[in-house]
Amino acid sequence: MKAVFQKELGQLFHSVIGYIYLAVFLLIGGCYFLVYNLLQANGDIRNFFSPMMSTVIFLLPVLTMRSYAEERRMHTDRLLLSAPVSSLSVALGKFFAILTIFSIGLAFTLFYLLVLAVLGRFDPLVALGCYVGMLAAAAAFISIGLLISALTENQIIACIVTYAVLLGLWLVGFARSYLPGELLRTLAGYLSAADRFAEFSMGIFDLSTVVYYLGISAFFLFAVTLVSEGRRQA
Amino acid sequence: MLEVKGISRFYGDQAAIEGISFCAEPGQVVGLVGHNGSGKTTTMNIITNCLAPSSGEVSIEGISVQDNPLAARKRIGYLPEIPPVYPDMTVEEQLTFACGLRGLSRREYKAQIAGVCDSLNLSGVRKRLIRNLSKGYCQRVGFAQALIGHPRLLVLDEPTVGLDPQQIIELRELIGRLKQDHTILLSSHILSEIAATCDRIVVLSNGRLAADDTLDGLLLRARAQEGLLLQADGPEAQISAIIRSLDAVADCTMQPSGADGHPTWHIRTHGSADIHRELFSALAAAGCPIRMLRPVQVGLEDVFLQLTQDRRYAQHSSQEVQPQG
Repeated sequence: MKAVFQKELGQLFHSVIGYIYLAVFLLIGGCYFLVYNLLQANGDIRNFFSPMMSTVIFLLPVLTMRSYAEERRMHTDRLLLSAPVSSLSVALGKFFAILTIFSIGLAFTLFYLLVLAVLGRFDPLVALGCYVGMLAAAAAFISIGLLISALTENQIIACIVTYAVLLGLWLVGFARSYLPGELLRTLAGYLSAADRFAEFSMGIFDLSTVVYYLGISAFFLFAVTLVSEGRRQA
Repeated sequence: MLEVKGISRFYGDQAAIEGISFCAEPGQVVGLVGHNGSGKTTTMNIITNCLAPSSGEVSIEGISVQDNPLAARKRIGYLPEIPPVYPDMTVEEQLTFACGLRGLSRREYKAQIAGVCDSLNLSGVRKRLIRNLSKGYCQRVGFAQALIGHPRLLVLDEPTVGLDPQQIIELRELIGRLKQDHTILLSSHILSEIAATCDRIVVLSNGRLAADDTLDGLLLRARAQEGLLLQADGPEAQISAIIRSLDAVADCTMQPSGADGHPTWHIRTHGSADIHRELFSALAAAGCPIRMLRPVQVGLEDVFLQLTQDRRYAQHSSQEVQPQG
């Protein structure tokens, strides 16, 4: 797993994708912080995280799209398939490499907390909830992106489909009231990534919310290993 | 060392390979030969666990590739037809990654990478990005990567593709050195290459094993086809009768008139009997002057064509018949 992790991390920074991702993440994050916190003289960090989360949905597919699709296109998947490493190790290596890049971007936003702590209100529980929620949600989104990338060898298709799925997961909560039937509405409420994140951002550590995000991550990473192993059968 | 037992691979009803079995002993170089689409790459992919067989089993040093894949893959170094290298990595980074995949320690990295770079003359390009290397160098990086971790079995799919003649000679020498402590399975379209490097040749045709023999064994089969080609003027039946009347003649077939307008007789003799003088005298006495008389020499190419061509045509004709049925 370590070799794949280092390779993936190195590749993200060898190509410009890693730098572009971080630049766009910090630029948009800076704008949100400026508009929703500094200009409005609002010390609540949730004002920054809520719009940032929807931005992350559009940024993460850029990181996940190439992970498996590019390996297949370049035929480097043969190296991984014939190497003495398990499909799970490969999936975890790729997963943690992308999560690391995401965490690097997120770590820069700690500076905003420092600004708020000095100039305004600082609620450590809410801040911790927002960061944990953001990381947990990103982990789930990355695992979904990896699965979609594993299903195609076209990066653009992987990116667009991942956008669509993540957007669906984010918006399903908003569409809940328009759905017919109580069962569908309950299901939509459970699937809604936005609702789950809202609980974190309020500083509520609900076990079901943690299970929701970790469950999605574990489920989709397992699915990635199944797809990878399935390639041997294809 | 390598034991392939009746492996088959089906895509729907179509068999890519069917019932392939062969073995390779330590220190042997086994050549896998066959026309395009004969199943060479599928066989190699199954041996290296990149592909699962529909049936059959592959084992390396007694370890089943299907039952214990990680332990088996540790013993395999694979160079596919398209070298699996990352263009945005340097040669050193690529080889470091290969060391990591093989679970080598950091201490071992340096010696391993230096060793394979020396073997494949890559020392001068270690810091260069793979995307800036020629096809031949990429092939060598792929080969170097396959050698990392000293795998006991090397599987090389068309290893000479993209190499210039000098590099091909160097690669041949390298394979000669590697066979001392490796078992090597390699495929190639260049039969002279196979003949020069391999101890045994496995011929595939339409996904089936057509032959598994040493080079000498295959050539021995070919010698059965050797003999004399004759063109002579005169009545065809009379000439055929004269040829068959000679004691040393085992078999004689006549091919109808070709482009030159003359029929040709293919004469096979018992053992290595020389019938030139006898044949000349007999035909001259009958007033049938000889237009051409020369020996038929059969090479590896002829053996290959003989082993594979019939099956290819057989399958084509069956495919043509199938839809109507």
